[in-house]
Amino acid sequence: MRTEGSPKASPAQPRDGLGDIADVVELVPDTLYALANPYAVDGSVSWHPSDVRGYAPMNCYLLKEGSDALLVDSGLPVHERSVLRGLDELLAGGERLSLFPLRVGEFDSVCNVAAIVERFAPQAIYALGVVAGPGWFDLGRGDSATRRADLEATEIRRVGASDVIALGAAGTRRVEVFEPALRLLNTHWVYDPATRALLTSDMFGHAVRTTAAGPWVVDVDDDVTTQADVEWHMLATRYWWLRGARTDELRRGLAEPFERHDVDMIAPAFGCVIRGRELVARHYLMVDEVLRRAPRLLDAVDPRDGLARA
Amino acid sequence: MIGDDPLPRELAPGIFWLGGCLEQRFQGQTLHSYNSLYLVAGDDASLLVEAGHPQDSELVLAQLDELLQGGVAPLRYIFATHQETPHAGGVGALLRRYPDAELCGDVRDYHLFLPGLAERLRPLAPGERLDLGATEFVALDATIRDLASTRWGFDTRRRVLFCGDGFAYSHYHQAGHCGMVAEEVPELPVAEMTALFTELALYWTRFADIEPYIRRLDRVLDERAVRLVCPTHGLPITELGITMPAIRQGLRLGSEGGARAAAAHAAAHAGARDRASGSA
Repeated sequence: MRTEGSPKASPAQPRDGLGDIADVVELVPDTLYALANPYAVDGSVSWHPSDVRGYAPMNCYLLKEGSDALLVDSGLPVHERSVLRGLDELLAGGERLSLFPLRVGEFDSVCNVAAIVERFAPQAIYALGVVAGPGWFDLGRGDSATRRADLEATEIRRVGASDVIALGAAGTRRVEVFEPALRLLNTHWVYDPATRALLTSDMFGHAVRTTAAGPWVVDVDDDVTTQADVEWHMLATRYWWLRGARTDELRRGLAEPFERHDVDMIAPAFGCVIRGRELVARHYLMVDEVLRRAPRLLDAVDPRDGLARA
Repeated sequence: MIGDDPLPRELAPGIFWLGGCLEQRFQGQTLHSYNSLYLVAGDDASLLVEAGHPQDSELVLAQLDELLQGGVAPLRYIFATHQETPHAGGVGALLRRYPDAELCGDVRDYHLFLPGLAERLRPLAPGERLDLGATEFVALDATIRDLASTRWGFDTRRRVLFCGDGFAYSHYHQAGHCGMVAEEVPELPVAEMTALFTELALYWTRFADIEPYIRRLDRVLDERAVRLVCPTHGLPITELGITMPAIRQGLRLGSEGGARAAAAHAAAHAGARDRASGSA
């Protein structure tokens, strides 16, 4: 089903895994799409705080430019069929696909790479320089020999800490990729000047919904996220180490892409897309406020210490 | 795995080192870092610490088959320290190969990663134990970690600490370090390599005060009377009194952002050593 970030007419019933109710969300017509595959936020997922309840999408983003298409991230295995189905729909014109998993060492970024390679035979996988070969994407599903052969037939193009991926026949859509200052593991962010979308991987993933039907885009008129929500999302999950940390450099680094670019949309790997200049500014400021407050918080050294919602 | 495989290796009775090396390029140098797994054998059951890097799955399955066919107790548990693919990437292949095994530890997320295998997830919180027969495996809080969900583990009989990303440092393949424990390669600049790995993989440490972490690390080693340290990325440590000072120094160097200078220092060490051995 394709939507524009609005609720579906016939919401599917939630079930474990929610594997077959994905949305293809048209963010910018013919240019940028999200394959938004929902999962339950119920304490069983480590990238949301254990006490938060609701639903969130695991997102892959498809950037289309003429005969080229770039898929950023690959989604969860539990969503494999819906990811492939969404790509079937979006690549019906025979576009040449490339893949770019933004966090090469994490399941949610790379898990469906092998399945996508098998179905679409992409021309390249863009990957951080540390990736030595296709074995990084071989998560052990299906026939091993066939899977490895498919992966080995795919060119791996190494991406540096600051780089450009050119899309379109003339290479005119120059997508900027860079290592963000605010990261936990090896990570890239992507800025797409054509859509003014900033793809932020594991950051800005704090917006969740109350139903499995979404919608998976937050606009200014339905944003209910609070400062406390953002802080708790960061400190109780992947950014636990910010407690008591020195954050001046991180604040400057966070600000840099927002100052250098016009950002109309924040597109995280998980959680809702944040759309609209005003909303982008609000959410940027909320994350910056977490960084501003973090040095004064209790030190994070003991995982049993201090993990209580403020 | 790069090059000839020196593993598996028995580090203590019933503690087997498995896995392969990951080649890394850093500032023009080629380094190796281990993606290790450890088989912890009890009298009745075995537990595998870590599930391995996805590129090593076939190698690990072959190493495990060799050990299990050689009489080691059946594999009942797989304990992945956390949900990064270099630590847990082989879990699907392992669960399929060993149908009696369960994945234990912080098992959040895996129901989304391993559709069809969710019934074989067994949460193991810090302090909880698994009886392997004449020994127990205890899950611990992790002191040095990236993902907050990380667990460390401890074998009570042989007093072995399994510490995931803790004690992580690279080594030189060409100098014959692969398959060696830290104390067998005294020329390896452990402090500098620890600093380098910290800069590459434990990015957050450059923003944190590392001293409380070092104090807590020392407390864990002391309270548990640890005899053998088995990291996932560093060479195993058999003499803590010899190697721990370098680990502490490396954590401080990495946290202070001195890793690049440290790498240059390490390169100078390696160049001198390789020239001396004729392997450069």
